Formats: sequence, C-alpha cells, structure tokens
Amino acid sequence: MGLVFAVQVLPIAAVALNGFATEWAGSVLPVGYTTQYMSQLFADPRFTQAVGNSLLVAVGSLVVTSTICVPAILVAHCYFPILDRWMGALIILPYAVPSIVLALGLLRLYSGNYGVVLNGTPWVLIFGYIPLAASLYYVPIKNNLRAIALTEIFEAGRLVGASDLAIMRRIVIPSIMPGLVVGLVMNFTLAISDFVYANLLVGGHFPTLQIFIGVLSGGSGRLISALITAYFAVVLIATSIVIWATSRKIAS
Amino acid sequence: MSYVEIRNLSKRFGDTPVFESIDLDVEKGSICVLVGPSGCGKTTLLRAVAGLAAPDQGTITIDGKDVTRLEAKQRGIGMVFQHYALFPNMSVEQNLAFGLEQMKLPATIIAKKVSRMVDLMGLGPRAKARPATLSGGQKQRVALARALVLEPKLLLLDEPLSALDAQIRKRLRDELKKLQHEMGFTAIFVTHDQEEALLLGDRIGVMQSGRFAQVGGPSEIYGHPATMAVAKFIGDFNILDPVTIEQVFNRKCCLNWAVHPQAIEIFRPIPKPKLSEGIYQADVQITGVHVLGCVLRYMVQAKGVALKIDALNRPNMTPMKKGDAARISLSAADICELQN
Amino acid sequence: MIEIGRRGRIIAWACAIPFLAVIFLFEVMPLAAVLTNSVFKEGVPSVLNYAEILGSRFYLGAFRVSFSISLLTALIALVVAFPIAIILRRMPGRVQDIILVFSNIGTNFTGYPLAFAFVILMGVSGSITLLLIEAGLVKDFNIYSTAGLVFVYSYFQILLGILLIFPALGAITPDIEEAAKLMGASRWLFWRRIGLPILAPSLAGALLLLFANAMGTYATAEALVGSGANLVTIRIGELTAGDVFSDPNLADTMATLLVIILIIPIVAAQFLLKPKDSNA
Repeated sequence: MGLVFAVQVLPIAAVALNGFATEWAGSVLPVGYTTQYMSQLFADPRFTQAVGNSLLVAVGSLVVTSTICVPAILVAHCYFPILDRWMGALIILPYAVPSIVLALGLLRLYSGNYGVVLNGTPWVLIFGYIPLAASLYYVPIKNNLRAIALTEIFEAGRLVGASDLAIMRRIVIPSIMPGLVVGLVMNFTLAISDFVYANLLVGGHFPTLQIFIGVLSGGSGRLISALITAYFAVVLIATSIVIWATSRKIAS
Repeated sequence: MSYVEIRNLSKRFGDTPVFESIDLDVEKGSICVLVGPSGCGKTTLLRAVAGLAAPDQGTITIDGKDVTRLEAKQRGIGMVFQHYALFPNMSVEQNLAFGLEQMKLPATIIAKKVSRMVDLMGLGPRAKARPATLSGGQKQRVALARALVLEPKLLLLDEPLSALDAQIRKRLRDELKKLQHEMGFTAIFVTHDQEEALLLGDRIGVMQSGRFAQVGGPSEIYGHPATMAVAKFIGDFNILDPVTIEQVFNRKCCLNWAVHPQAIEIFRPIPKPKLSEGIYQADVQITGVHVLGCVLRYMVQAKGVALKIDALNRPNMTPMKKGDAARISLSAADICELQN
Repeated sequence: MIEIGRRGRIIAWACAIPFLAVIFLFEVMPLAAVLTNSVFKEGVPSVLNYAEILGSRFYLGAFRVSFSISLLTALIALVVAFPIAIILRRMPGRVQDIILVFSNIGTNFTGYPLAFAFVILMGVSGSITLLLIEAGLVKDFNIYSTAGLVFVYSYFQILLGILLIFPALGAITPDIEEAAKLMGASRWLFWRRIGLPILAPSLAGALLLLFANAMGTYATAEALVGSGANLVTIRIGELTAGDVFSDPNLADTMATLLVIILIIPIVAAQFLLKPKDSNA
C-alpha cells in the first residue's frame, strides 16, 4: 500500500525537486537547490497572466456549473425519476465521448459558422466544461441524497406547514453540502487541468496555465518544473479544502 | 356529529383496491387505533387522512370542516412516522421550532413553546443534539414532540413504535397513553401489534383487505371477535369448526367457535363428572406445559384435536405434567360464535 | 419520488431547464456537428471520408495502436488497482476518503505536467533510468515510445481503476466474508468462488471504462510523443490543427468512428450492469 502511494507521489516529487534544483543531470538526485527558477517564473508576466486566466476559468466554471447543475440534480432526484435516470447516464458520458471529440464539435459550432462566436473566449471553456463536470457533482450529491429519507422528510415538512422551497433550503441543501464541496473541488481540478479544450478552442487568445506549460515545454526544464510545481501547489490547496470539508462531515 | 368523520372513503392503485367504503368516527380527545396485518390498507388510509395520498372518493371531515381536498400543510394535522423522519441537519430544538417558524410566530414565543415541549418530553439533556446521535426511543420522542408542539387538531401515528426494541416500545407506549390523558389530544394510531392496539385504543378498527372487519372498544374486540379474521388476528384463540366441536364436545352447531385459552378450565379427572346445562366437558391428554410468567399454558389433545388452555400460575400450586390425563370444562357463555 | 402540485411541477421543471439547455448546446449539438461533418466532403454529402480512413493502413494502424495500448493499460490498471482497492476497504473511513480524493486529483494529473514528470524520472537521463542502468537491469529506456506511453498511461489508469473498483467492493459485506470463513473457505477460495463472481460485472464495467479512458486520452500522448505516436486522438488533433495534414472532415470522421467504438460497448454494459438504485 505504502509502495503504491509512493509511486503515486513520485512523479510529483520529482517535478518539485527539479524545479528547485541547481543542476540535475546524470545523477539520481539533484546536486544543489535554488529558488532561482521559481522567482524567475513569478517575474514572468506571461505566468501571472496564465494564472489569472486559469483562475478566472476555474472559478467561473465552479460558479456556472454548480448553479446550473445542482438545482437540476435536486429536482430530478426529488420529483422527476425519469429525468434522474437520464442524468445518471451522464456519469459515463465523459468516457463514451472523449473530450477531444466534443472539442472538435465545439470548434465547428462556435467559431462563427452559425453566427455565434464563443471560441477564443473563456466562455466556451466555462460552458463547455459543464457536461464533463456534471457527473462530478451528480455522484457525491446523489450519495448524500440517498443517505436521507427524503420522501418522509418532505411529508413531515409539509405536515408542519413548510413549503417545498423552505424544505429544500432548510433541510435538503444543508444535507448535500459535503457532496457539493466534493463536486466543487473536483470541478476546480478538472477546469485547471484541462489541456484539450483550452488548446483547441482558445489557444493563444486566452492562454491558461496548461497552455503556458505547453508553450514553455520546449525551453528550460528547470523553469517548466517550477511552473508545474506551482500549478500542483494550487491543485493541492484545492484538495486540502475537500479533505477538510469531508473530515468535518465525519466529525458532525 | 363526531370530531373526525370519514365517510365512504375509497382508494385504489390501478385495479387493486387499497381500501373501500371506509366509514370511521373519532371522538374528540380519544385515540382510535387502526390495526391489521401488513397490506390491509391501514397506512394508506392514514396517509389519506393526512393529505399525503389522495382518496378516489369519499369525504374526510375534521372538526366540522371538510378537508378532503386540502393540501397536507393546510389540514392542521401532526404526524409521527415509523422511521421518525427527523430533519437530520437540525438539532432537537431546531426540529421542534421548524414548524412554528413556518407559522411566522415571534422568536420569543417559539423559544417558549419549544422549551416547554422539550421539558414535557424529557428531552432537556439532548436539546442541542443532532438526530443521528439519539437512540431510537429518543428519536421517536422528538418526532412526537415535533408534531405536538404545533398543537395539531389531529395527531396521526404510523406504526411509531414498530422500529423500537421491546422494552423501549412498552415504555413509550405507556408514556403515550399518559401524555394523551394529560393533553387530551385526538389521535389515530396505526399498528400491526394487537397488544398495542388493545392497550392504546379507546376505539379499535380491525382492518382486513381494505375494509373494517370490526370496529369497537378494546373489550368488545377482545371479548367478542365478530369474524374468524378478527379472532385470528386479535387473540390467541382456540378456533373450532363445527365438525371438531361435535367430535370433542358432542354438540351440533353450524358456526365456528372462538374460545379464549383462559376461558377453559382444566382439572384432574374426577371419576363421575357432573354435567350441568350450558357447561361442556371433555377428556384430554396433556402434551405440553409452558410457564408464561403469571400464566401456565397447557397444550392438550382432545380426541385428536389440539387445544391451548391458560391457568393462573399460583405460587404454591403443583402443576399437572406432560402426559397426564385431565378433564376440561367450558361455559357456553364464554364461547364467541364467529360469522363466516 | 415526491408528489407535487401542478404549479410546483412547473417551477421544478424550470430549475432543470438551464441544465438541459446546456447539455443540448454543449454536448448533443457538438456531437451532431461532428457526425454531420463526417458525412460531407468538400461541401457535398459523401461517405468518401469513411472510405479513406477504412482504406488507409496508416489510419487503421492508429486505431490498432490505440486499441492495444488502451487494452493493455486497462488490464494493468485492473490487476494493480483491484488488490489496492481491497486493502483500502479495510482502512479507517478517514484514510479512505483522503486516498480517494488524492486518486481523483491524480487522474486529472495528465497532459504536459504528467509527461514532463515522467521525462524527469524515466527520460534518457532520468533518475529511475539511471538507477535501473546502474543496477544493470536495462541498457537504456526510451520514454518517447509506445512502451513509454504504456508506463505513463498506467499512472492515471491505476488511479482511475481504484476509483472505479472501490465503490463496487461495497457488495462484499464483512458478513459474507465471515460466513464463508466459518464454513471453512480459505481467502483464496472465498475470492475465487464468491468474491470474484459477485464483482465480475463491476470489474468488467471498470475494465471497459478504463479502456475508454485510454482510447480518449489526447493531452498526455500529445505532450509526451507528439505527432510521432500513431494514436487515434493524435491523428484527430493533427487533422484539426495541423498545418500540413489539416482536413476537418476527416478529423470528424475519425472522431465519429472513435465514439462508435466506445459507445457501443459502454451502452451495452449499462444495460447489462444496471446500477441498483431502486430505492431512489
């Protein structure tokens, strides 16, 4: 188990080491360490712009995807079993339809051929990620919903005089909070790790971190390592949030 | 006119009737128990009264007001569910306050009503606890408090004690009876447990396949079951058909008998039995003796027919033993003749 | 399901409409666009695109290589992830949560960052390559090859495998295992006669999704090997964005064929392996 975990972490550790190494060639471990590349990276305006763009897309994706998906998941679970069954099929959609195929379709549709130009703007990413991210919300939220006796709670709530909206707001939504947080973090990771959509649909018009990593990949290995390390730090922070949230759920 | 009046109420799911032509009256301040085997339609009937299931025809009147077409939240009904249905994200107090908040009462009044109810139900130490940390009995007490704090016109209880273990069930049952005496609320209580029904019910409706087989007070239901189904469901009767009756007691009759085990006397055989009018006797063989606390149960065979007989278990008595021959006697007045 | 009045029903549907609209505009329509484009050549309806791909050894080769790599890495992932998932089941709930979240992050650790990490470790002068050469196990190792792709893919495939298998293990409750143990079954016998048959459908489903995941991988392959690798996704990317080989209709045709290859077994599996959700 520990070995597997080590193998999981190894590539990440290697990149981080490389980012702080003075020289690392022909030996198992680096010769010395420096923060030179990290500071060089932070001084690069392209980096700050890419970070800004990536955060904009990721946060935009969080806000838009959760506001669109969560109400749909709730009403489907509570009132429309048929819709719920269809939404359940979304889980496997990202597997059945690879993102490069969807990206092709978006490229065809929103480049102006049909009067709508979204490509080259962050909007195509923010909305384009929704079908991919929906299942990230669906699975944990459904788990939370299944854990509560929803029908009885609605009946009990209605009998004490509450409207369905009040029951949703006061009882159902607080109960799905852990699942929602998990969904948000997974969505964040998805949005910030995406290369396929970003590369094909916005590319140089709106360079995200992944695009910038691609641009740098021809150059200094140290610099790109520093960049990937910084990127991974962001993902790690997001992960810590989810661990914190789930542990709070267990404590309560 | 009764406080709650149900007239000609029917509901079917597709082609299967759930209950049919139900008439029921519940007096103010009394508990009416609906009892019957699972699938007899009692829970659906209760849900129709609550407004959680729509009847196909018939009317429901509460306190002179026809509520048949009203939504659940407008009926002023409190309900306690078998599996509690507490709001999992709220503390005990918050569960109780939720309904009062929907009535837009001032916070001070809500707090006062909640704390009074919490004290009354003995929930004080757990007032801030979440439902997940409560025991089954405590959860059901919270559910009851949540319904009662709104002072409902009618309290519905859907097998509220069935999910609890035997000890807690007995305690909560007695508490519920006491609480009803003190507060005087009107309630309809659904159960499949005949003991619960007899103990709690001022009136009992025994349901069988969507209809009432018998409605009456507990002593009437227990003492004089009207049909075979009621007898089989309510008590531990000896049920005898006409052929058996003739075989054992040498009497001709055309109806089935239901006889309470404690209505039969059992004694050591006497050489010359004295027969009198209205007393039936027979010789039996004891096949088993069980001690059920204050009662001794004899399992006997009378001409190949198995009967059960209960005798008081007096401390200084020497009980008869398995294999002993004995004689039983039965008074005609203790026989319930069953329709169909 | 909860009963609801007419007015409530309208409001509830209104909550679902934005979602349905987005799925239509950003999922159904793009797929339809790809499909439509695949049956056009130079503005005229035609099956020539399909004829060209199915008649080309180069493009068919791409499907073959993608298929082999995907099947191989899916099998590797299943074999490695299965015991890990079983061990994970025995861990305290908190540890389970943390490892699952990390695995989820790991499955998103793809593209340039992952490719680059592996180059550092296993490239020409990578640490692991050096260690292996020093130990005399290998002479050299070329990460920029099909074998390299298998290594890199296995990284996220194993993590995904854990995520896919873990929930299915819930079907093996401790009491089943204890009952078998009391009847004298060894661990091995338990898994062979009871555990694996119970999990077989789930494992088959997981294998299929792992296979699909590898088939659809573009970013990692592009970052590691670039157009040098003859993979379906690389060819699609090249036909879309390449300077020399650009042919959007042909790209769409390949994409359609890829979707067909993936969707048929996945839909079949969904019918065969219906999730037990009757209480919802």
